[in-house]
Amino acid sequence: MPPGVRREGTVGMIAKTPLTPGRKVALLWLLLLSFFAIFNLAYLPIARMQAAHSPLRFEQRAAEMAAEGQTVAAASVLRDGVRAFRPPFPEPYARLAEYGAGDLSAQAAPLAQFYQFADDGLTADEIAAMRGPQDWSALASQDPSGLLAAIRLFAYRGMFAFPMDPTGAWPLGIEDAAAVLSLAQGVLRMDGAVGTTGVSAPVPIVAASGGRALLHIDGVDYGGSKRAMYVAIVSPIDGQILQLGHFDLNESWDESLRMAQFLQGARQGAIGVFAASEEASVYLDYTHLGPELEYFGLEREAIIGHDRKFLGLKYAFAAIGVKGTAPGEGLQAWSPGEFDGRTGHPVCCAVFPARKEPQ
Amino acid sequence: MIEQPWWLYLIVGAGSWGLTMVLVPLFRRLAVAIDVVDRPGLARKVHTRVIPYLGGLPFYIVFLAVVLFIQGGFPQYGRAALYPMCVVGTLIVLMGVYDDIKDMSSLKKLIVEIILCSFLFYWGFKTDVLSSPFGGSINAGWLALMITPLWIAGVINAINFSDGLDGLAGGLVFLCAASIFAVAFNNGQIVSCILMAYLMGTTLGFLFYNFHPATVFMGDAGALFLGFVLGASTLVEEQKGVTVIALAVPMVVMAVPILDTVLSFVRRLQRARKGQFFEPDRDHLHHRLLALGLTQKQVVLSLYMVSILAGLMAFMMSVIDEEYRFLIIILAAAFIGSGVIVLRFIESLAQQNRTGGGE
Repeated sequence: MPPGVRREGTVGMIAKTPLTPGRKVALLWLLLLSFFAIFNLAYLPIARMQAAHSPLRFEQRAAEMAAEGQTVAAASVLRDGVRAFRPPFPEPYARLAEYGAGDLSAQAAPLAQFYQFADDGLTADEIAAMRGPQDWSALASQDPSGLLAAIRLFAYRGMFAFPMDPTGAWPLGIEDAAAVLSLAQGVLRMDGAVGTTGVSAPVPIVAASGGRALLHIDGVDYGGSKRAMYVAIVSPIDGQILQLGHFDLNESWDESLRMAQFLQGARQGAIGVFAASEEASVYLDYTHLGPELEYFGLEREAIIGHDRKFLGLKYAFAAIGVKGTAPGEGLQAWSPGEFDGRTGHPVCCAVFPARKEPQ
Repeated sequence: MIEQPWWLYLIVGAGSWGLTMVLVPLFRRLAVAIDVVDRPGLARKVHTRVIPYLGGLPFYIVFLAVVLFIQGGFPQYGRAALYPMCVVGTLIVLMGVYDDIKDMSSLKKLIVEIILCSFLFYWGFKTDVLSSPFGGSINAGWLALMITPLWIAGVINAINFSDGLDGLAGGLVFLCAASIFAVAFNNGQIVSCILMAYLMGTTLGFLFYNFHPATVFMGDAGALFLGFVLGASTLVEEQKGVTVIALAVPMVVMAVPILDTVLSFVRRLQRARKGQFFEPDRDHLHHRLLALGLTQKQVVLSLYMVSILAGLMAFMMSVIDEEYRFLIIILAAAFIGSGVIVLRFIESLAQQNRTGGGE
């Protein structure tokens, strides 16, 4: 029997001067609120300090550094933050362009412009203004069915991200749409080169993602809308499909392992085409699957973000890589499901074989 | 696979156990000193002597300590979502204290619970997509707004209803937490594991004083808070989309209290015409088992056994392939259905015996 309570005589121990029920409640509430106040006194300063150092606050930290004249350091913080989180709003890109942050500064200004336009609603005129110097005229000679499907996906899913009217600004001309897709964190190559892997795509390949997955290879879609990471392994010689698979990385670690084994089974030099449908990251296993994706020329940070815990689900992730290449040599694009209260958007990676001049 | 900080689970579990062991006698003394005690007399009360309340207040204090410990010492495992849990948990405990002393109507309690738990939705405790026990996923859509408060309030009430015998609610929460811990550990859900380690530690410490013959009761304050932590914990990992630990798993884990709540709801519906929907009764599972002639300890231990079986089924459900999950559901349904039928059969036999004895 624990001390303080007598089994038979508990009643006898009741306070001699009974409190009214109201006072008892007040007394206990006061006691509990005191505990909560003490907790807050200790917790809130810690939480504030941690929040200030959170990777999510990279913009604020960069602004503070810039205000202190540390522009180079500010640019570095901003660049890391942009790489890790791909924020779907213009401010960080505008600042990055302003600081002149090396390799990203060239992309930063158009991205800032894109998100600025997207904020107010994309119009056909604005899109035409963003087309930039890249020549998309070669698209006319290609079979753009994959790209058209990606555009439709962008237009439909993009409505959730941007206040745009698909019946007004969309459908766009193929060249305008290509410009938008390439600006929206996407990569479109007209020279057939799969990034800097040294491999050329023998057939048009379009990987697009955002709600559903598109894997258009030589005009045929191998993607789907089931929650999964869709993967196609394509021959670099004739563009034949060597392997197809989809892996529900939201389901279990086993799926991650299965995908790693699938990629291990691909032969060296094969082109890997990847697109996520809905969420495909919860069980992305960095021990087994991470290195396999890197071996396809994908960058680890861009696979799913610097710290996936901070990012939203329903990622848009599309990539085209080559087995046996170094991380970063492939093509990849992604946008978060949500960052800082803003919805991400569909992305697209596309490679079109260079047009052969008639002999 | 994610490397699990099992040593942290051990520290949290052991620390919660130790702190609860120290705090419960102090609060028991306080309850006696200010006369916050449960007196026998009401028909639905099983105990025959005066027992102090407030044994559940240490759950709250230990929870605050655990959150502070994690946020201060191991922020990499912390979550911003833990703070809203502390805020809403505080209000739940304050309501519980009020109810212990001044009695609050079930309707008012339910309304307050739903309002408080609704706030959690806006702090990210939500599930946009439910994992279907039959495979695949179901988009919750606008129902997501209702799922959070209804689920958490449902679990709160399930635990509160089960708090009718010595050691029953505490033991069931311990077993539910152990099962969810196993599922979460298997899925690499670190925050869920930490919260379950806390629940296991604190309830085990409390059971030392509350197992039959109890020297202290957790009161509504403790039962509501335990139910709140248990319910909210199942949504804490799921901040941005798909329910990582599908609600189906905790539903099976908490089969005993949830079944009791559902049966109670049905009985209340039957009484609703007499305007007694919110009136408590003496027909809960444990009351009915007691009526069959089982001792308090036997009833509690048999419900523990059922809960262990449910926990094992939930664990199996989380590890087997999606296409076989329906078998577990069928097994669980058959298990519950046969339990209800056997109970009704034994009750009717006992009734017949009593009638026969009386003649």
